[in-house]
Amino acid sequence: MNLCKMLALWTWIVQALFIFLTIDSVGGGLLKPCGHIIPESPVVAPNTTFTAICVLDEECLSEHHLNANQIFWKIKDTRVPKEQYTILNRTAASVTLEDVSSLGSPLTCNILLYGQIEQNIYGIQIRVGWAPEKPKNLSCIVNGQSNMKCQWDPGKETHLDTTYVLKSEWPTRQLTDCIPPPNVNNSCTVDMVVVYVNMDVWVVATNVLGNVSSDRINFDPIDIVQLLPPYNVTVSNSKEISSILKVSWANPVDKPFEGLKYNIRYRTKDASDWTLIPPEDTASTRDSFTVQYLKPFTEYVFSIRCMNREGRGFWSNWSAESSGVTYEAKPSNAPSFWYEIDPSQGHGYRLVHLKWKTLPRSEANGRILDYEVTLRGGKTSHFSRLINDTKMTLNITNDPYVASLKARNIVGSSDPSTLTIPGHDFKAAHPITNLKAFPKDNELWVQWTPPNEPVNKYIVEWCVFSDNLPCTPDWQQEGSATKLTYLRDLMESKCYLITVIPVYDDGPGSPQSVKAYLKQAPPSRGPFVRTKKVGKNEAVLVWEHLPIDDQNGFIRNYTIFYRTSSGNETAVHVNSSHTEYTLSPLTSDTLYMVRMAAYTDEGGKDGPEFTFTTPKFAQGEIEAIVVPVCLAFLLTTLLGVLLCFNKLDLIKKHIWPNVPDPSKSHIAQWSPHTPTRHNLHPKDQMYPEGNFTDTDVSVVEIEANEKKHLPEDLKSLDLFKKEKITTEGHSSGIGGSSCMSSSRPSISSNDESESGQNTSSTVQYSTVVHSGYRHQVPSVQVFSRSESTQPLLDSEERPEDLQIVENGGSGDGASPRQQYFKQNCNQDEISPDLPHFERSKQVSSVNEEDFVRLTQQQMSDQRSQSSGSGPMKDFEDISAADNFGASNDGQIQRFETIGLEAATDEGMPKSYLPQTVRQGGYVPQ
Amino acid sequence: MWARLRLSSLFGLTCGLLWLCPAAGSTCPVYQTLLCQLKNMAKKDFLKAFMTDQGLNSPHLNETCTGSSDFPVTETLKDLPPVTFLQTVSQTVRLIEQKLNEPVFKRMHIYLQGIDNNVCCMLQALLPAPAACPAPASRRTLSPTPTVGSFSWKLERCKIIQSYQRFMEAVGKVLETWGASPGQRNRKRRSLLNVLLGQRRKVRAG
Repeated sequence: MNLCKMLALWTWIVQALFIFLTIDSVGGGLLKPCGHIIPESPVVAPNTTFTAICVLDEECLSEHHLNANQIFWKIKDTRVPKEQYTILNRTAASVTLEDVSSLGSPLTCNILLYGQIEQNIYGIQIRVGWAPEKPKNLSCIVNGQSNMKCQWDPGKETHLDTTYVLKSEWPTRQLTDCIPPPNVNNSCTVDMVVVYVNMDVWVVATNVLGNVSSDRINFDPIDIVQLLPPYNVTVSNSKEISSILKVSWANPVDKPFEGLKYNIRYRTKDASDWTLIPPEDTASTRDSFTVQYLKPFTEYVFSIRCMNREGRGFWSNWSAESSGVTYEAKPSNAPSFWYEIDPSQGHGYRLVHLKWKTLPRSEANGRILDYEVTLRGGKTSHFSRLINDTKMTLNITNDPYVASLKARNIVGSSDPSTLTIPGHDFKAAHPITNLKAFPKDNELWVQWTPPNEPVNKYIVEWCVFSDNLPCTPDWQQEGSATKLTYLRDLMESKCYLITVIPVYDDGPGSPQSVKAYLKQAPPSRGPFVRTKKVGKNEAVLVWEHLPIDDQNGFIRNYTIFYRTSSGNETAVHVNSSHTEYTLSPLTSDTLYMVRMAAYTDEGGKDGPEFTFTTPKFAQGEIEAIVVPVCLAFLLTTLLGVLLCFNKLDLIKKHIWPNVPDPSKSHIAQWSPHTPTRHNLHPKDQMYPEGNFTDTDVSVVEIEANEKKHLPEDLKSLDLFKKEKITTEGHSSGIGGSSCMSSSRPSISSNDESESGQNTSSTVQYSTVVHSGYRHQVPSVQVFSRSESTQPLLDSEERPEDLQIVENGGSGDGASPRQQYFKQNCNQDEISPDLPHFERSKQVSSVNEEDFVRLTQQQMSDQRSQSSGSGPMKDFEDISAADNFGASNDGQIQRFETIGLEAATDEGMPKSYLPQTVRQGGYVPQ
Repeated sequence: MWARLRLSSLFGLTCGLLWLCPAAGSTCPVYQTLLCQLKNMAKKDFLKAFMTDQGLNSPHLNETCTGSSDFPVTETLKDLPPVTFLQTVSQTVRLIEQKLNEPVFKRMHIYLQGIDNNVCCMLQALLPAPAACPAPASRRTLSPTPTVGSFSWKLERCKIIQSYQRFMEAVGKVLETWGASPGQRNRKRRSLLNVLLGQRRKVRAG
C-alpha cells in the first residue's frame, strides 16, 4: 500500500517536471526579444533631450532578414516621426526626443516584418523627474539632553525617489548620519547629541538625477537646547495671608546642564493678559516660588518655563497651566445703595424700597453671606436686619431716616453704605449741570459737571425710552469725585433716558436727564409723507415724526425725494424738527411721486412713495377768469342797452322813417331872418317831471308883454306864434301825453289814429320841411300842401284863443286852457317841492322858444356834433334822476327826461313813436 | 620647472595637512570656546545616573564604588604642561572609552568622544602642527569582564565611572587655572616623565 503511494507520488513529480521543462523551453524561445533599448530604465529631467538606441540581435537579423532601417519608434500608440531617427549601423537605430515629459510612456522599438507586419521589439518606461534642489533653511534644536531635531526646506518635489541624509561631524570625526523616516524629507532627529562640542550639520539630497548638499551650519548643541518645560505645577494659598499664592513644580530631569532659570507668569482666570514675575527673581534653579500682592478670593492661573541659566539655548515651552485661589478677605467696598419711595400709602406712611447691588468679586473678597441693613430715624429709632436678597421694602413714616448697609463674608463685614431718606416734605435741589452722554469705545459714557455743594455720591439711572414699553430703570452708583462714567449692558439702537442724581447728606438732589444711544442705526422705516394741500405749482407735504422705537437714533434730517414719471429725482433736505414742507415750483397738471427718508448719524431709511397730481389751474384761477368775463359781458350788455336807450332816436332814425312833426312847423323858421333861438340850458333847465311826456315837443313861447321887434318878414309869423303859445297848452308832441289825452282835439302832429278819433274831418296839412328829410338840407324853404288829414292847429281853428294868448301872455294871467294844461300836466301844484330846475323849465319856456328860433337853423347843422355829448349828459341825468327816486314812476320819468333831453339837444323832433305816459296812461297816436 | 615643482609641493603639503587633520570639513572653535566647553564637560556627572539606573543608589554602595584610581589625580595633572596635560586627558578618556565600550554606556561613550574631540582641538590651538592630536590608541586587550548586568559588572563599571568622575574633576580644576588665552598659563613646567617618576616615588614610599 505504501509502495503504491510512493510510486504515484514519483509519477506525479516526473510529470510535473516534464511539463515545467517543456514550458520553459518553449516560453524561452517564444518570449526572447529580438533586440533591446539603451538605456533600459531612463530617468529624464523635464525639458531635456533624450536619446534612446534600439539594438537588434544578430540572430533575429539573419532569421528575419532585418536591418536597422526597418526600425520605427512609438510612444504609446503614436509613431515618432522618422526625422527623429538616426541609423547608427546595421543593427542599431536611435531616436531623439526633445521633451519627454510631454510625451509620456512607454517608448517602444518596433520593426516592420515583411514590409507590412508591425512587430514590437522592445519597450522602456521613461521616468521624468527633477534633480533635488539644494535644501535650505536648515536649523536644529536639541530637545532635552540628547535628541537633536533638524529641519530644512527640501525644495520642490522631484517626482523621483530622493533620499535626504542629515550629516554631522565634529572637527575630529564624522558622526553617524541621520536618515529621516520614510515619507519624511524635511527633518531628522539625531539621538545622543553631545553638548559642548562644536559640530557641523548639513543635508545631502540624492536621487538618480544627482545629489546636492545644503549649506553647513556649525554650532555647539548647548546653544540650541530647548528643555522640556517644568511639570507637576501646583498652586496653593495661605489662610494667613490672602494676597499670596505659592507655585511649585518639578524641573526637567533630562538636561545637559544643571543651572536653570525660569519665567513665571500668572493672570486672573477671566483675564487674558499675563503678568510676568520679574525674571531677576527667578534666575536661579528652584522648584517653587511665592507670588505676592494678589487679590483676595481671586483665582489665578500660573504657567512656568525654563532654560539654561547661562542663557544659552531656548526657553522651554510653557508648562501646563495650573490655577489657585487666594484666600478670602473682608469686603473692600460697601455695596451700591439706593432707594425708591412709593408715596401712595396710608396717611402718614410711605413705602421705601431699598435696593443695592451685589459687590463685584474683586470687591467682595469672598463669598457674601448676607447683608446687614440698619435704619435709624422716625418712630423706630433703630432697626437692623440681615437679609440675603438685594432689596428690601419698608413701610416708614414721613419722617427722615438714615439707612445703612453692610456686606458680610466669612472673614468680616464691609464698611457701611449710608443713605439719607429725606422726609415727606423734602424738596430736592442742587442738580448737576452740563449732563452729556456719548458713545465711545463701544460704551455709553455719561459726563456731568458736579454741583457746587459737596456730594456724597451720584446715582445714575437709565432705562430704554420707548413708545411702547414703560421705563424700567436700571441704576449704578458712582463716587463723589466721579464726573465721567459709562453704563454697562446696553443694547444698540435703543434710546436710553439717562438720569443723574447727586446725593447729599440730607437727601438726593434734583435729577437731570439726557437721551442717548450706545450705537445708532438707520431708522427702521421712513416717514409716511402725504400732501396737505396741492396747488398748481406747489404742494404742501406733511408727515409725522417717527416713533422712538423706529428711529434707532437721533433723526438728524429728512430728505424729500420727488420726481415726475419721466423726470429726474430731486432731493430736498429738511430739518428734523419740521413736519411740513412746501414743494415748489412744481409743474401744473403733472403726476409727482414723492418719498421721504429719515436720517440718523448712521444712515437713512426711505419711507413709502406717495403720488399726487398738481391741478391744471390754481385755486381761484377759474373764478378770476370767469368772473371778469361775465362782468365784462354784463357790462357790455348794459352798455349796449344804455347805448340803445341813449341812441334810441338814432336807432329809431335808422329803423323807422323820421316823419317830420307838423306841430313843429313854423312859418317863421322858414324865413332866412328867423331870430336866433336861445340856448337851451344843459342841465338846470331840464323839464320838470311831468311837465312833458313827449320828447319831440318843441315849445315856443312868446311872452306877450315883451315887446320884441321882429323883423318884418317875421311879423307875419305873429299869428303863428300865438298859435304856438296856445298850442303849448294843448300839444306835447309825439306820442301824446295825458295832456293830449283830453277829449279836445290835439295838435299833435302825424298821429293819424288820434286825429282820426278826434276829428272826423280830413284836414290837409302842409308838409313843413325844415332841415330836410334825412339830413337833406333844402336849398329853398318851400311850402307844400299837406295831404294829412290831421286836424288843424287850434290857433288856426280858433283864432280867439290866439287873441287871448296875445293879450294875456304867460304867467299868472294864463288862460283857462293853460290852467287846464297845468292842472293835468304840471305837478307844481301837486308837488310844490319839485326841484327848482323843473319849475324853471316852465318859466324859461320863452327862452326856449328863443332858442328854438335862433338855433333852429344851426341845430340842423350841429345835430351830429351835439349828439356826441348827448350820452354823457344822459348818464348824468340818470344819476340825477336816481337821486330823486327809485320808483317805477321815477324810472319812467328818467326815460322821459332822457327823451326830452335828447329832443332839446338835437333841437328838433325826429320821430313820433308811442310813448309811455307819465300818469300811467298810454295814448296811441 | 622650479615653479611647477613648488606648486606641486604646496599642493602635496596641503593635501597632507588635510589628510592629517581629522577635521577636514569642520573647524575647531577658538581656544576660549574650547576651554569653556571642556570645563563644562568636566562637570558632567555620569555616576549618579548610572547608580540610579542600576539600582546602586545606596550609601554603602557608593563607598564600595569608591576605590583607588588608575588615572592621574589633580596633583599630577596640574603640574603637567598644557600639551602634555591635554594629551594625558586624551589618552585617559580613550582608555575609559575602551573600558565602557558597551551599549549601555553608549551615551557616555559618545560624550567621551566629544571630550577627546575638544582636547584635540585644544592641542591644535596650542601647537602649530596639526599632528598634535594623539593618534587613536590601539585597542588594548582588556581583562575578561563580568556578565553584563551582573552585580560584579555593575561594581566594576561603577568604579570605572567613579574614576572617570574624579579624573574629570581634576581636569576641571586644572582647566580652571588656565587663562583666557593659551599663553597665560604660568606654571612650573615638568615633563611627563618627571611626573610619572615622581608618582612612582610616591607609590614606593607609601
